[in-house]
Amino acid sequence: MAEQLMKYSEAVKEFDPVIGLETHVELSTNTKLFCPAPISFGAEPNTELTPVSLGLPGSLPVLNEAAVDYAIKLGLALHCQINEWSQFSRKNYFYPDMPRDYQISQYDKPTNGEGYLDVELEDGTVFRVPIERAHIEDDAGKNTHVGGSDGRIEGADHSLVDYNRAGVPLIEIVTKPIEGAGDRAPEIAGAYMRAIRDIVRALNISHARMEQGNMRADVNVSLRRSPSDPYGTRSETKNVNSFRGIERTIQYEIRRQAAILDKGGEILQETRHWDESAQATAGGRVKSDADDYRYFPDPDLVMLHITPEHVERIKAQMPEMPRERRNRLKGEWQFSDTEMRDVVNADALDLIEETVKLGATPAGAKKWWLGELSREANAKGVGLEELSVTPQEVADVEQLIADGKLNDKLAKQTMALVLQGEGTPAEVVAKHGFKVVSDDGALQVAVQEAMDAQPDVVAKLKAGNMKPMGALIGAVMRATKGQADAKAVTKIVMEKIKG
Amino acid sequence: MAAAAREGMKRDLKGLKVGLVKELGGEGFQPGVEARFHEAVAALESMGAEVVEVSCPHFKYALGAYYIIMPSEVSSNLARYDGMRYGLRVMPPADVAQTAANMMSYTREAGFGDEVKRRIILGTYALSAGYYDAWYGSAQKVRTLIIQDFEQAFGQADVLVSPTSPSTAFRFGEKMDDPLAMYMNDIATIPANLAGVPAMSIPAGLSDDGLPVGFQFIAPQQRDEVMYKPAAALEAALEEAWGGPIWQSLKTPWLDGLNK
Repeated sequence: MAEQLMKYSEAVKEFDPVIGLETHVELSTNTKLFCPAPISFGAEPNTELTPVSLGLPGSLPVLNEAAVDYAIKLGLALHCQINEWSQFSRKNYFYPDMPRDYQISQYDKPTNGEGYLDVELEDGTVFRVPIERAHIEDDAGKNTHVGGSDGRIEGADHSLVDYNRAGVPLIEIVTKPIEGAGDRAPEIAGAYMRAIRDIVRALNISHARMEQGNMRADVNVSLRRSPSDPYGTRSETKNVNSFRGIERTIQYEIRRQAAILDKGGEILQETRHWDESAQATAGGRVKSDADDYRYFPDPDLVMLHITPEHVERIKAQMPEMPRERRNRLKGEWQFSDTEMRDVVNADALDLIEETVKLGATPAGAKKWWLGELSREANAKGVGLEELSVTPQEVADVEQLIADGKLNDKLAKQTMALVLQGEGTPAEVVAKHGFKVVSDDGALQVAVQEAMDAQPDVVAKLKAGNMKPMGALIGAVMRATKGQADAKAVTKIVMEKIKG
Repeated sequence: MAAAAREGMKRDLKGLKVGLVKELGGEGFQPGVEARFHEAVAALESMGAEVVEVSCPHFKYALGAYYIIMPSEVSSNLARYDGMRYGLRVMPPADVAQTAANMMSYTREAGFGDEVKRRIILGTYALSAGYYDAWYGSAQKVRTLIIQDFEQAFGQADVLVSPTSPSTAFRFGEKMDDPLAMYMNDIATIPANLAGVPAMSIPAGLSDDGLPVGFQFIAPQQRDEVMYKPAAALEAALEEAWGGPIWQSLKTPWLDGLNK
């Protein structure tokens, strides 16, 4: 069923979108939230279990201290109020992937209260996303529906449950309604999600790989005619697990809801899902007042007490946050906004920082990682860090250039051979006998020969037209098998002309 | 704890202050139960204990609070018996959709008894949105008041005592149709459970109907040893008076052959 959609530009002119994001971040603790079962990706189904993971009668939860510290770190990064007292509550509902038939979550007393995150958009604008809370909870198991056409429960003939994921610690970051985003709502959501990913990676609290489900978001969208109107009815698109998916979900929901409202229709309060292949959201379960999770404090767990001293200790260990780090490096490296954005988009920040630390100039390091090496990575379809060249090797090549031992051309050849696995730059240079001819005598002869061979060029140079200089350099390069230093050649030519 | 009990065998309770909980006696308590209880208190006094009366004014709300909190927790605790992973599984009949949700319903319908179902329904209701504050929330506040009652009482006495139950045992199944009357039997033991303080019960003799009466000691939180000394002293004194453990005097033909 094709749904009516309004043109996006028209929809955002007619309506004011309000969005809200509930982001689940799976923590990379060694063990689960309430038991010592190990956590690893891709383990055999139902092998990473304890009686607690399976909700066996008599099993009791014991809180994982590391998970709490991870949550505090994230809370601090999101400028949240870290509550001295927080509480775990039971969210009761029956579902086969939920071993106890209740989830242990936080309800009215979350560990992290209100906060905010400033996110940077493509054009450098900073947008402040208000955070409502970031609470700790445990994950459910994973259902696999077998026999249906698309892996969904509809049409399946049986389902399998893997409880390995049951009990894995999650933090759910809930934004307040994000107002004032206008037509940039999808972009803001995408930038926010990427910022969260960068933060949890910088904090080293989650692998934050969306494709593995380490991070997923429920996307709420509602429209209203004007920012002064009350919020409209929202749709909630569950478990969107890619940045693009989140952006497109919002775009799609704005267009879909606008078309309905424009005709005087009403938005159904429902949960939807993002269909990647159809590039559309599809209706799911209608939310009603019948959804009652009967939250109450988990009587198996005492209240969680986090002292201000403990928060201070964690604060002292906090690494620099990604945005602050980017800004600092941008200043240190004297890169423009555009240059810095290119670096970030190429995922080269860490590599360049490391290369600079090892002695290369920022411009030199950027030239390699965003030039030759990015091309090589793209051609191979791999990430930069997967290339067989290290920041140390890039810094070494830059050092060889700075020392005048390699020119640009030889440096590129050297790098190509390093990439092919021939060894370190020093080994490659030694093996192939690469050297810049800076021996003045030999170079003087080669330059003189080139000038003698091209009198017309020399005439132009003497007349003050420097354009044909390249022809002489080229000739010298050929004569020296590329080992000449272009700067040195130019210098000798100029001396000879003036002389 | 063992050392405290051994100390009690000496039957010297000088310096011990025993608090009689005013609210756990009188109206609603069987005369035979009260008689045995007061005889036991007199025995404690004769061993040197000082007996004082203490008041716990919120105990009258304990039963109500308990029968909100307990079924609420029961409704959640027993959710795991859904036929998915272990235990009984009852599939729906052929004309009913063979879904996980229906299987859970049929399993739970077949597996739980009437009293369990009654508590699950009661608890589910008490936790429902819109009712939580009135029921579960209020009950938890009562719980706090009861904790405070205990703190107050333990400021006046080292250990508290009461009959364990207002009457002797009723017949099996007798009060199924009158759950309130049945629940009333828990009136003396519930406050300790709500407050999380230790309590123990020892035999105090037989009531007029020939059935045993219990004598309850309650100690402050994490101070179990405080009650072991007087309990051991009282047990020793009573058994001496009876000429042996009380079950030897029970007129219970059904106990014959049970290694009496």
